[in-house]
Amino acid sequence: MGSPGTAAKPRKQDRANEGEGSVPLAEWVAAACGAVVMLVTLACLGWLAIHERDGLVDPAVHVVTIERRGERYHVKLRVENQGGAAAAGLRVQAQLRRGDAVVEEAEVEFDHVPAHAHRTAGMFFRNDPRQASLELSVRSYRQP
Amino acid sequence: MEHRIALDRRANLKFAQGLMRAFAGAVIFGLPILMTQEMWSLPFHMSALRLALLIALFFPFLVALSWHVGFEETFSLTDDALDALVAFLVGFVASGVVLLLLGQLEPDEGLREFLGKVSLQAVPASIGALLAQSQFGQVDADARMRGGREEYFSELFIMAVGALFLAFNVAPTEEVLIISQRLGGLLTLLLALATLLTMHALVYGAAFRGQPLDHVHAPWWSVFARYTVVGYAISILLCAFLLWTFGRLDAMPVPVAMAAVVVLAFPAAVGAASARLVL
Repeated sequence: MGSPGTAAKPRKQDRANEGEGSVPLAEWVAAACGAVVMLVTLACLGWLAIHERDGLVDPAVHVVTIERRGERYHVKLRVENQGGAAAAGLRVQAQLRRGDAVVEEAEVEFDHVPAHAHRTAGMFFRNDPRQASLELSVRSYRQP
Repeated sequence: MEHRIALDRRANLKFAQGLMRAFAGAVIFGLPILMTQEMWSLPFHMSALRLALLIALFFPFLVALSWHVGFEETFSLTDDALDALVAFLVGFVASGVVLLLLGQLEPDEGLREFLGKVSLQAVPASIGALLAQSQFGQVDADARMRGGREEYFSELFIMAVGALFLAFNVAPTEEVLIISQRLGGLLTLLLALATLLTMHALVYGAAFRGQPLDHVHAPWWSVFARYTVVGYAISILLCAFLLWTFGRLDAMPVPVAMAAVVVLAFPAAVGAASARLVL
């Protein structure tokens, strides 16, 4: 017997009734879907290959939400890599400042931030970040 | 040949049944690699161009495989291309669904990650989809394999399928590089020799079903030169291509890269030699 397609095709002994070389409509439809998936995949990969050439890591980080959880304050942040190259071990540092004084610090590391993609993470503070100025900065990354 | 479209319910139902079997094959063949961590992170850093090249080269390979496991005597490019396209679709969808179930496809996944993960996994899965019939279907021993048992290149192609399948399951893992670094030159050479011996024992000694008659009648050195050595060379080339595609050989001096290729060629060669048993 054959592949998924050939399975559906009439076996030799059935051929007399169904005619040589007839392919079920369902197989044509499935094959057309397969062709679309393969061509779209190749086109997208080609597009990525062109746009990622000499790509740079270009991360931007911003706060999504700040909410109180019991005694602590939870800050959800989102890092967006707008560049064409992926980053590994991307470290984001946060500082809570009141005037010149640093009240609290926190740091988070993202394992992987692909090109043109975003990742989210959370940080906890004892002080309310809304009552102070929260400064976020991307510190370092590795090439994957 | 004229390809008429069969509209009757029976033919379409049979096709749907075949499709189910193909999904089962895709999942079974794909699962080991779908649950390998390196495969989830590979698409994140591997070159999009190399992945595109892998998929573009893989398609004619699927068409050829479809012809080899197919049922009909005659060669019809349309039939085999259709089968290969369906198999790729099944492999793609099956990989996507399993990755989704395993929590490896997040909604905030970028295009690169989504495409990379799913299309890379679709490669072994679509081999599984295509082979599902010869694995699970009722097999007529004589009609099972096409291309003629005596056909030398057909035999080599089946070896390449076996090599590709096993190598694909091992190539993405860190272990290949770890083993090659630990072995050192002498042990790597020994591994290469042991691989050749194992391969020859499987090709020549163990009388697997579907073994060409030629293997039984020809002297050992003839089989060694025509099947074992050529099969090993095919395995080496496929392994080098896979490791290069996965970016495992980047920034590596040639001897170190070669050691990694030899390590991967061990499972690949075993796959090549026993392909007749599995396929």
